Amino acid sequence: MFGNKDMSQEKLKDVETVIGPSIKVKGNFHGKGNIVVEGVLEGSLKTNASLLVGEKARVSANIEAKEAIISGEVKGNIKVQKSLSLGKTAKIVGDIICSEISVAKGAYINGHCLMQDELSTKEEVLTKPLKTNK
Amino acid sequence: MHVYIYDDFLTKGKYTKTVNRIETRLTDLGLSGKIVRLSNIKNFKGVIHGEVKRGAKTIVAVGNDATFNKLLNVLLCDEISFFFKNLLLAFIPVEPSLIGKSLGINNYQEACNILLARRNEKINVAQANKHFFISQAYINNANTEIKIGEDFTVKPLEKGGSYIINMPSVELATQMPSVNPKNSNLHVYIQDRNSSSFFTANTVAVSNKSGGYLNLDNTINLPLPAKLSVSDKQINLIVGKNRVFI
Repeated sequence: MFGNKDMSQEKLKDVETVIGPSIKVKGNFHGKGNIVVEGVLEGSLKTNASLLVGEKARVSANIEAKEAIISGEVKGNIKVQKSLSLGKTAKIVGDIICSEISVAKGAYINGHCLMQDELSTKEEVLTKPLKTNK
Repeated sequence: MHVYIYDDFLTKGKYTKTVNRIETRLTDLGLSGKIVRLSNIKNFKGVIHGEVKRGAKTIVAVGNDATFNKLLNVLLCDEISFFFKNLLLAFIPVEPSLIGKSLGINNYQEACNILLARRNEKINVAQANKHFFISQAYINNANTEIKIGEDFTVKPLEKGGSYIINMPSVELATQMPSVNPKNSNLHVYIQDRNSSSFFTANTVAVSNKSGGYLNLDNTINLPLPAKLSVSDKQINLIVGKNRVFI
């Protein structure tokens, strides 16, 4: 999808949750499987698997995931254990922690970006709470 | 022994042919049994419980979704739970049916053959407030709010419908293989003109600012708010040969 074959949408075939474009979700969303967000989400978002945030999605939440593809708007901190892929329409206002990153031309990031190796990122995700981005 | 429960609407003239055909087919297949006609019965619960206690092995609802749902709710009473363990429940739908589709039964002709094949599956029964259902609950999206688990709420922003599914129709099951009445989850499927959303949950609470109803199994309209979950009850159902739960 973003020139990264490992993170193609095909990988999200077994999706546990789909938040469609005409849906507003409020609260702490904690999942175990793959999640697709195309709509509005406010609160927090955490999954042990992959996350796809679509172009028109608007997320106001701290995000934690194993790997993520983001093409929409995220206001909040992002922690990803493995690879994070930001599409050309991605708009991130918040800090990023990940072990691999790919950023498409046109993507907007306003925040710090910290690269960590996979293991320490995993420990960080599991132990250290995120600061609220306000 | 098979016990056939005929709903009272089957006494109407337009169903005479259908009922005759069903009876002929069942006789041909060697599946004749006792027939209980609800049109003559005031104490429905007492009669059904009596049949179960007398040793009915297979109870067959003959009618529509309402017939099946009514029978399900009577059978799941704690009073006969001891006898219920080895009981098989089957369905012969005389008109297009949501529950029939969920069981992989398209019409009454097919239902008779499925009854003969006797392929059975043990599945979970879902509950909305105090009412049991097996297939799905439905509500219109307008002003609806769905709380999933204890942590978050979902609000549909466009016209359409929301389904809380325990056992989907065969068509829906092929699109969403994870929807399975053998796990302890309900599945929320929200649909509008252009898109759909999908969530998995142990418990679901449905409310609507304008009051409204939650329709269960295409039969009962339950006043809102309603709390839904997979109940601790299971039933043995006779299902179509193509009905596979992974």
